[in-house]
Amino acid sequence: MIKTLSRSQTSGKLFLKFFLLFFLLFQVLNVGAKDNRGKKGAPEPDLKVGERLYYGLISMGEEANACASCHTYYTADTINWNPSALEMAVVASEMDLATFKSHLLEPSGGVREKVHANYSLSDEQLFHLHGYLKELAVDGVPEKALSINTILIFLLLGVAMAIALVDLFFTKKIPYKVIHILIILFGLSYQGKVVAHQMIDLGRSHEYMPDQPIKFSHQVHAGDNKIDCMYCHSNAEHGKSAGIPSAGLCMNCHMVVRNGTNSGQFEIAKVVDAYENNKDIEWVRIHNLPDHVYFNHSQHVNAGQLDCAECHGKVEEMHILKQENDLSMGWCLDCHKTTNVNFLGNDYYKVYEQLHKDIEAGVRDSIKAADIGANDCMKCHH
Amino acid sequence: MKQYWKSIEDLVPAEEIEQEKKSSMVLSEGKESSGNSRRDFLKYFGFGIASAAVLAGCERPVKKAIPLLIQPEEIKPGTANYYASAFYDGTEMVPILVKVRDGRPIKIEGNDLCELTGGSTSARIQASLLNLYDESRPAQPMHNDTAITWEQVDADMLKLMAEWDVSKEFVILTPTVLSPSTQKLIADFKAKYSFVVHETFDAISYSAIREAFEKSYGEALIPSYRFDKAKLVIGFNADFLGTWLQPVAFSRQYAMARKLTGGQREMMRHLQFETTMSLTGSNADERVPIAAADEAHYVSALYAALASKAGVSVPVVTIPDVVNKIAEELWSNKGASLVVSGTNDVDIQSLICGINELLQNTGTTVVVDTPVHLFKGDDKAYSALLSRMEKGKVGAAMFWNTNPLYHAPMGGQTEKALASVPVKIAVNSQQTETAQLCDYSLPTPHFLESWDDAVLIDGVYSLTQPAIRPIFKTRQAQENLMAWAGFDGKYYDYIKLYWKENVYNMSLSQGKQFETFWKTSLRDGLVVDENIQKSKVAFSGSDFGSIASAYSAPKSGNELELLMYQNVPIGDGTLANNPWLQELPDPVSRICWDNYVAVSPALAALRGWTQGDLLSINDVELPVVVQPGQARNSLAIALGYGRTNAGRVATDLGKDVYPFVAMNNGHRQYYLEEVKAVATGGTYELAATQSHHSMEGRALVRETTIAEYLKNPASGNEMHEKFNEINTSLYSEHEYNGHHWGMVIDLNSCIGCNACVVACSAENNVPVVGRNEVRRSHEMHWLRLDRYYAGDTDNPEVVRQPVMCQHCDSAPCENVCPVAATNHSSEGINQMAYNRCIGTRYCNNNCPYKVRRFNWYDYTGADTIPNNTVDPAGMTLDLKRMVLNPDVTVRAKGVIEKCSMCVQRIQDKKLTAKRDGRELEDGEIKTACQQTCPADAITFGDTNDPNSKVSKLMADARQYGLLEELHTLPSVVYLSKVRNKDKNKTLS
Repeated sequence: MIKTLSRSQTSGKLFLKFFLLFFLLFQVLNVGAKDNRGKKGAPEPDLKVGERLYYGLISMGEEANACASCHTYYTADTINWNPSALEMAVVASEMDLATFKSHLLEPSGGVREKVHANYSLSDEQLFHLHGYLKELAVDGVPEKALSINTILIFLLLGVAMAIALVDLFFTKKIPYKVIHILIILFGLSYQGKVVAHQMIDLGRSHEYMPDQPIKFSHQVHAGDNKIDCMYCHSNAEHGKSAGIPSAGLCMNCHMVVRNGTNSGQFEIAKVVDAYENNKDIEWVRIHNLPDHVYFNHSQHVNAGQLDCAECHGKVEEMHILKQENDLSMGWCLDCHKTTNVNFLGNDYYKVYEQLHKDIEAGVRDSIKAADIGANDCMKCHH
Repeated sequence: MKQYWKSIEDLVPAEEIEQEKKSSMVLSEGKESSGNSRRDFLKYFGFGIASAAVLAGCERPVKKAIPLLIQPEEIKPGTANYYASAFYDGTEMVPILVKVRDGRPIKIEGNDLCELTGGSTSARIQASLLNLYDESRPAQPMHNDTAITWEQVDADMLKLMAEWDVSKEFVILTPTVLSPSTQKLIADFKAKYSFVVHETFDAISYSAIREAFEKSYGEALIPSYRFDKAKLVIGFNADFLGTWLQPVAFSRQYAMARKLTGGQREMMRHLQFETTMSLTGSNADERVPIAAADEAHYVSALYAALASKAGVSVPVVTIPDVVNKIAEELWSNKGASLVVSGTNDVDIQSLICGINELLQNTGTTVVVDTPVHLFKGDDKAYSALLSRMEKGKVGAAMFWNTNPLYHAPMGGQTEKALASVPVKIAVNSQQTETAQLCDYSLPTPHFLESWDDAVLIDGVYSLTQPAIRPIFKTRQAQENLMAWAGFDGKYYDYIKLYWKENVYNMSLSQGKQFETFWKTSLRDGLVVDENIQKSKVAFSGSDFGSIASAYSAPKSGNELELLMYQNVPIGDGTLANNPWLQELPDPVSRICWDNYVAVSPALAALRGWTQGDLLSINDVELPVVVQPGQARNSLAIALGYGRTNAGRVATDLGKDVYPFVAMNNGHRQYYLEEVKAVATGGTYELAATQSHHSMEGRALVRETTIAEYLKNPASGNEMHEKFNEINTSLYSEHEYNGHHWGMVIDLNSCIGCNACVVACSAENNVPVVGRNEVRRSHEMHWLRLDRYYAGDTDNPEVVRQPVMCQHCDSAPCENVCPVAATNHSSEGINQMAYNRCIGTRYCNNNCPYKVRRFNWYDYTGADTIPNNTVDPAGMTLDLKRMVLNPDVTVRAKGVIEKCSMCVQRIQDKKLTAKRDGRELEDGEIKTACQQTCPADAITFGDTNDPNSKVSKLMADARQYGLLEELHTLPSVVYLSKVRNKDKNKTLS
């Protein structure tokens, strides 16, 4: 017993040592890699200066906003209509320095003219900024830092419980055992809750709200312009999938509409480009069901006559589309239990003779989806 | 009650024990020998927790959704489209519908507009879909193993043609060309290059039939046979339900003529003389085992017996008793009988012509004025071609979907002949042995990627259209010819022009514009011209008497003879590289993944051979299968195996016996009169599905004879009433408010062709497990065809029974599931929720029908853990996974699965009815097995609807449930089998 314990301790120490060693080595190598840049003959842009300029850490003139304040790295909860940092970087990387300068300092048209008016940048600063953007276009936006709060609390609680345990049996510094027990109970229940929630949410993505390749706003289309959902997602009435409209369908309107009220020309130009140059638009899929679930839109929209909003929420108020419901099985079943079937209006249901008699006799006043087998396993899992 | 037995082992219990020992040894030697200890468990458990934590920390993968840039009106994401097309692989031609989901063909179904097949298909047609996604297909043009472009190919060929020495031939070798457009194209190509010669070569030869008809009718043809018009059918080694000529059409006609449903009181009688137990023979009312060498004698005797009745000159032939009895029966069915032979021998085929003519069958069951255009290959022409090649008269040869090196090696002559051809071009969609010898490999697309047309019978035109863009860099062979002859356009344009000029005539067009006519033809897949000029063929006769007298006495002695036959799954071996077909058990022996030597029980007993003993037959080593019903001194081996270059799956499976095929009288003869068979002392474990479904001799298949049936329709099924009376249950009955789905299987119609098994696999993503797993009884088919023998081992009676989940209303499996993963639906379906199943297999253990299948491994790439995978046939490759039906879950390791009554099809049709706001029609929903069944043996429907077809069949006196004494109340019921024989007319 003692032997094994000591062995595991040594192996733990060994692991720690190796870990630190690798960490340091990595850091050193990384620094080295960074230092290696810019040591060749031709003048190289100082990427750090470029980055600072982009973030506004180095002033670019009186009342001039930092680039990053409009051209953000990530989409926030509210939509930012301006082209993102990455998109700017891609555009800038295709320009030579002179064009870049004229575009930045003497822009034409719309919002850009007003916002860019106050910039004063030296040629050297422009050079660094351009270099930074070029780099960004190649490397891409850095990974979003993960929120570690939950994991940190989880680990801290673990440590606290371990200390409590050790104190309980060996050191015995705290006189009242109730305290140990409370700490351990609280720790375990909190950790249990975290684990349970993590597991329940495994594979679910409630409120999923990813960035899309085009800043398409459902609020502008379905809300402000009152376009019917079925205009673009017509397949929801006929098939399993609601369908994402083809670029060809977008062009029905955007053949004419080339200037967005919020986004200017930049976003609409992407659709036009895709359509004219045969490029696919890779939308990020928001509503995902596991592979073992069969869902059919036409069953719900056409046969069941449900409103889109019942599952998708107020899409017409969303600039950035988000998953309104968790799409869990419990959520499906609950709805089946409470939703009435169009029992008298659709001839298909004539086959349920007994239920029709019940309605006539007043035994039942309505038929819920679950009453006619909507919650059978194999209706969705086949 | 009759004593049924499933296989020889059932009769020899000691043998069975030995088998058990063997298989348990395999189990303990298997790779998961249980060396796992508690500590391992803890280790894995800890690892599991850790990986769960890591997984929880991971973000979900981002999934992309890429819409079409311009969406055509008829393409809807997630909705299947059906395109009419036609299957033709050089054997049978069947019009089909191709189900295409999101750009991928995922299922083949029969085209119900075709009167000949009535919308049915065969196992091989169902499975041909998987050849489309075969990763071993030649993927791009090659020249001596270097990849080249099509432009280079064309440049090379144009140069070759320009510099051609006109004293030499450029040979194009094709299977029988059914396409009139291709025939015209070849003719045009020949007109452009006078040195081009077109030869026809069929993988399996039927040239003797054509020669016999040429002798007797003045025209080399194969008539349309009408089994449905016959009251008595006599077959001589003709497996017309399995492999001979047009098995799909014949199976349908056969089953229709034998149905006793819908008030029909008469059924066709079928007698079979054969050497080995074929699918057809096992369906016969009576069967006579004969040596292949004696077939000619029996046919001659039959001719002689009939000649004496007809009063024409009678040859001197000793007539066996059994033949006299048959002649008697045939004579009383004059004009409504049919005699066929499957042997490629001119004398036999000539006598068959004479017999059918004596019986006045010509015009009713043998229709000579609408011949079928199949199998036009002439073996004599092939021999002539080989000798021209050897003499160096052939400058180039193009092997267009032909594989002569494999199908007709002719004792090395073919290889020698090919070696003397300077330029050899392989034009195939699959890998072939011949292609290995070729300089150029110019791959063609699979038929589901191609345009074509076909004329099976004059006046019946069909079209083949692509259902997917070519997956590989392939080009249709016709477009090769067009490019080399300098014709403009695509082959599609060529077909369309041909149709405009030749098919589009006044009677067919009905005043339509050509474009409209073309589009409707393409939509329907076939066009039938009723007013076609029928060919006038008259019987001119032949000297049948002298042919018959040459076979006056039986020839067979004590020497062993060898018959080479096509089995139902693999056929001639062209489609062999197909996991679905390899895994499909032979309908008679129930063995898959190998061929074997079928040996008669008497011979096996004499020589002391048992199943699995290796025999060396003229130096080919194969394991023995003791086949009840085999002629005593005959051995039989299936063709189509032992491919040396077929692709990943079929290469080196079984042994090739085509080298035994020799020319006899100018025709390829599929039997050897004398062989040496020596036991090598080794054994080989065959992958058989035969003895592990044993149902221990209970009244599973109930049968009667027609005479008994006419007296009492419930004869043979008397216990049904009794069980109904005494059975009662502790469980309350289910309440079905709306539908109650049920199925009726008519055992009198089922011929056991196995088409349903492959259709089910394709529809429901049923995995392929491979030979080793089948040996361990891990096969996954949701539907199996149990086969039982009854009576004498030398000539037993055979019965078959398709068994799938019986969807019991009082299901034993449902009660024992600890997690309620299997339970009963409100529509009577025994449901299986895979995502809920934890794999205890209690349900499997408690199911009296043994229809539940457990995923011992991951066979289809359903889970991401690599060590779970067992994939002997490449079914986890992305390319092959394209065949999966997206509406059916792909099951992972550790769950039970079983027949769902094609619930996805039920749901789909219900939804269509709901969307249209109308009631569901009876017969609208068809399960995959029902859809493909050529015999119409399966009926599915709502048993709550008293007017549905299924309800009416359930009221039939022949109806019973499998193991109904257990009171499981199955929703799948059977109609008992009726044999057309009675005591007054029996052969024995």
